[in-house]
Amino acid sequence: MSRTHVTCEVNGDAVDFLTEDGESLLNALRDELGLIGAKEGCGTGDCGACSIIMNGRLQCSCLIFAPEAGGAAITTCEGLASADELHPLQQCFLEGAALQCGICTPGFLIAAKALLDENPDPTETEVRYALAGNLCRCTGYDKIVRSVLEAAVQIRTPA
Amino acid sequence: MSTTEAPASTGTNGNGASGYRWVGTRPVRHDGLDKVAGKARYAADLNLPGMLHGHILRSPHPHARIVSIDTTKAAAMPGVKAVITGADFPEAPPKGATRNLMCTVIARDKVLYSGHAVAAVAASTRREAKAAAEAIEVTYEQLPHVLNIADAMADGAPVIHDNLLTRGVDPRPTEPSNVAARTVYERGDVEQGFGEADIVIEREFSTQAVHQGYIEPHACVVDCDQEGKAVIWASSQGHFMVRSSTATVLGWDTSRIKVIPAEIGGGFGGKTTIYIEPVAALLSTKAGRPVKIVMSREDVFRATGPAPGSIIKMKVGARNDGTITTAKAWLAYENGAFQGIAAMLGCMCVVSAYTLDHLYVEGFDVVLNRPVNVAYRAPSAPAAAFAMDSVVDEIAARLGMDPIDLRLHNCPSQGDPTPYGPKWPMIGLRDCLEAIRDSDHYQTALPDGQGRGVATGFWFNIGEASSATVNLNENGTATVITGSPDIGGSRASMALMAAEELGLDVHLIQPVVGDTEVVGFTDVTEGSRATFATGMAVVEACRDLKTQLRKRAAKTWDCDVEEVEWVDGSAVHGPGEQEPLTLAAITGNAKRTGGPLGATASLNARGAGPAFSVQVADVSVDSETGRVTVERYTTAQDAGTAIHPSYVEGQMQGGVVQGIGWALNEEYIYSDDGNLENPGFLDYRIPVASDLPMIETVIVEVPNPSHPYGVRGVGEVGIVPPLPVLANAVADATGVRISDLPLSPPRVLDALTAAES
Amino acid sequence: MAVVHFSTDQRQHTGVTEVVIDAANVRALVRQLSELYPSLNAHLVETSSTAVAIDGEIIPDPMLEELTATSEVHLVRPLAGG
Ligand code: FES
Ligand code: FES
Repeated sequence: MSRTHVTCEVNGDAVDFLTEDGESLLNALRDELGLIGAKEGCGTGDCGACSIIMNGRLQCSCLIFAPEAGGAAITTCEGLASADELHPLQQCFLEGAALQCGICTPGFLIAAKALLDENPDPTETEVRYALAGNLCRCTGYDKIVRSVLEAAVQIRTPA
Repeated sequence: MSTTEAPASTGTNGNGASGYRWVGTRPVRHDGLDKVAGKARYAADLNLPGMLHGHILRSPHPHARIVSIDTTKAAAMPGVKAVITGADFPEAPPKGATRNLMCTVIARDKVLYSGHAVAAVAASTRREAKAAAEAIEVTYEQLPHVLNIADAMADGAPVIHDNLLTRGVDPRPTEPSNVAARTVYERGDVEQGFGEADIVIEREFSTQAVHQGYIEPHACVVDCDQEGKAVIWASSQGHFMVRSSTATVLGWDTSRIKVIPAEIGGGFGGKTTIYIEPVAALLSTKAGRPVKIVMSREDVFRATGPAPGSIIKMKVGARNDGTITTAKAWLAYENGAFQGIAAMLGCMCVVSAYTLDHLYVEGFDVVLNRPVNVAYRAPSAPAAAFAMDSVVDEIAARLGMDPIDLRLHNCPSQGDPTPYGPKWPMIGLRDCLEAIRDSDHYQTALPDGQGRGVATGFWFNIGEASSATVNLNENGTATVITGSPDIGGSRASMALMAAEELGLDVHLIQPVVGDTEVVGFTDVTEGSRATFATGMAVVEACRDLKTQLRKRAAKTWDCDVEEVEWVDGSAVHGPGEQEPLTLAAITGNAKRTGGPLGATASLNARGAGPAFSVQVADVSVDSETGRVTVERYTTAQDAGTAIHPSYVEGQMQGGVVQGIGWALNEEYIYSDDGNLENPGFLDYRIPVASDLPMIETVIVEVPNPSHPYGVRGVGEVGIVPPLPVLANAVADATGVRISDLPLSPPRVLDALTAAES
Repeated sequence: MAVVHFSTDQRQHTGVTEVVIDAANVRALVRQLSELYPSLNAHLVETSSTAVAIDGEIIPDPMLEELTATSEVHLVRPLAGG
């Protein structure tokens, strides 16, 4: 079976891995790089649990073939926090109880980061549409939307 | 470390009625950091050295006899280490719950639904396993199938189980049918009740099967060794259930199996049973290597837990003053391929929010060629409430009464008989009705062009068995070990109750979910029981510890234990001759006063308090497209006491949104040939953020006298009212009452068009 | 002592809507009921009514549950939830 050698940057680190053609980037991240933050909820691009930011764009990693990541810069949920501090989104999700089971959380954090990178002062409606590609079955989205709005405030006006 | 206030959630109270220090606060949950950092391990996140991947072959037919299975080709494929079929499993008994479980895990002589597991392969890679599974040659003899209640109950319908004789019919039928059971609840004389009524409304309702829709597909890793021991890492609502069910299916002694709970990515009832663990265990045994099975989303839809569809006929009579005199209900619920209790539960719930002198409720549990039902939040109650509360709403409209006043007028209270017999204990229905009536939402005039609906919901809640161990560490911290998986913040609730009891800061308490070998037996998390029942065990263990702590202080002070009180986390000498001893001072000295301090409590929790919810929604209906938009939504629910109000609100909001999905969009769509046509989130559309407004919550607290902190379960009842709430709101907005769910755009448009012509 | 209330189905076997039984626990109560109403037991098994509601609470494995003079008992099927 032929395996492709892929080199890319993940969460700021240069990494490389071998992957089968046709394997998804999601599986490569999880199985080859041990980055289990991105989850597979569907494998068909419908749930957003596998969300990553690749070259500045929000993507479903389950829909990307692993070899396509060659040369790309990728951010996963594991790359949000610094060594001693959580990202404001992570902190607001914790304080706002925006997670129940937590399986969707990495995907929402990434989708929310992609939104706030583009639009630091979104309205509630903009947040709701930006997160419409991410499914959460536990929370009814209320506390997620509030937490993203709160994080936006904190990022705009650092303490 | 401090507690943190959640962002404002309108209308929320839930701030611990009675001056607790910890109960009723909103600390950051203990497992939160791992979950926002992407470190939490769900079952699919575990990989073991030498691990193989399992793949399950599923039936393409809804009903067929398995004539033969040839695995030769598959076994010879690259990477394949083990192939199994139903023949590798112990024989199933001819009928009963054990057969149903065993035959759900893997089909024996017949497949009973499209998606039914038939055989399985373990191979080095996922792809090799899948390719080999697809190379297994199964010869089927197709049989006629039935997919809906009407067909299954019809005379001459194809019979799914030739030994299924309807229970609850006297004399018992001698011929098999697809009606598994009949249930009747009766009181008074309904004909007299209709005679006393000024108006009588009779309607027929239908609801469609829906899926729990947890975002995490079922997954497990099983490692069996040469001595016959198995270690299972699985995501479930109860690892002791995984252990006993796996043992049952494999005919193994439970002591061979250890189950380590992974984090669980949602369950809602759907993970109160097992599908894949025994398959992985058998593959692992055969291959001598660990085996991982992760279901695909398609398999989750095709082969796991739908909540049943239903047909309900309601006839209700009322007097002009709003008194409901009688109700007569006929209910039929899908059970899936094996018999269940869906209709029985529906019968128990259907008129529970009303006081009735005369009632007759008759229900039928019906088997058909779909996957077997699994619980979904307050199972059977949503469809039942849809029927009853739609009719009640129509009565209110006809009488020109406020729908909440009408419900208050007929509201049961403590001591009134339930429809299913026993008397109501203390319940909070009236308080919930009043909370919604007094809410900002209900008091605000309905915007032009919108419709408003209200409805009620009831669910029993369940106690069952739980265990907890609390160990005090030498530095004055505590470890709380329970057997209930943390689905939605229960670790935090356990820690809060322990903090309150011991007088310790909640962040000095480490809550742990213990595996089947480190903590005592704990029933599956169902019936909203974790915070109630497991919490009771935590409290009991903490109270035992407080006695021990007082004894240690008495020993230190050389006084009588009766002279020592436990106040705010310290031993206090009653006569006041000694300086108080903090918990840390006592645990730090524990070896000198008699050894380490720990306590365990195991109990059958009694007195689970029934839960009620009342909800209101404003909707607008697009007359061009038929699309229903929820503009505003408020839910009131009796939580007893809210231990962690943020997660109580979260349960309420999550339940409401699942109910909104059920009401507006979600449905299983089967083709005539018995295959599920929408086994994915693209075509089975669950609500997304942009479909919804904020879900306003009012936590009503009518403490449950049977729980040390007054807890009632909060996990389930929230899903019940949205079905009638939205149907009532759509009727209010359009003047057209739709009695078939979901209220999807095509159905609403059809109804609007039909009403016009 | 306890008051046992019978459902519509069960009445076909008991002929009465309720009966007062002097029993210390559910096992003793069930024993007396089967002596009084010989066909009731089979009916309970048949309908899987293996649970008992005592004073409104449904108890799944009730045989050794203690009864008091004022216990209100219903013979019911066990519940399951989500
Ligand atoms: S797993 Fe990629 S969108 Fe669902
Ligand atoms: S928290 Fe469970 S799916 Fe979002």
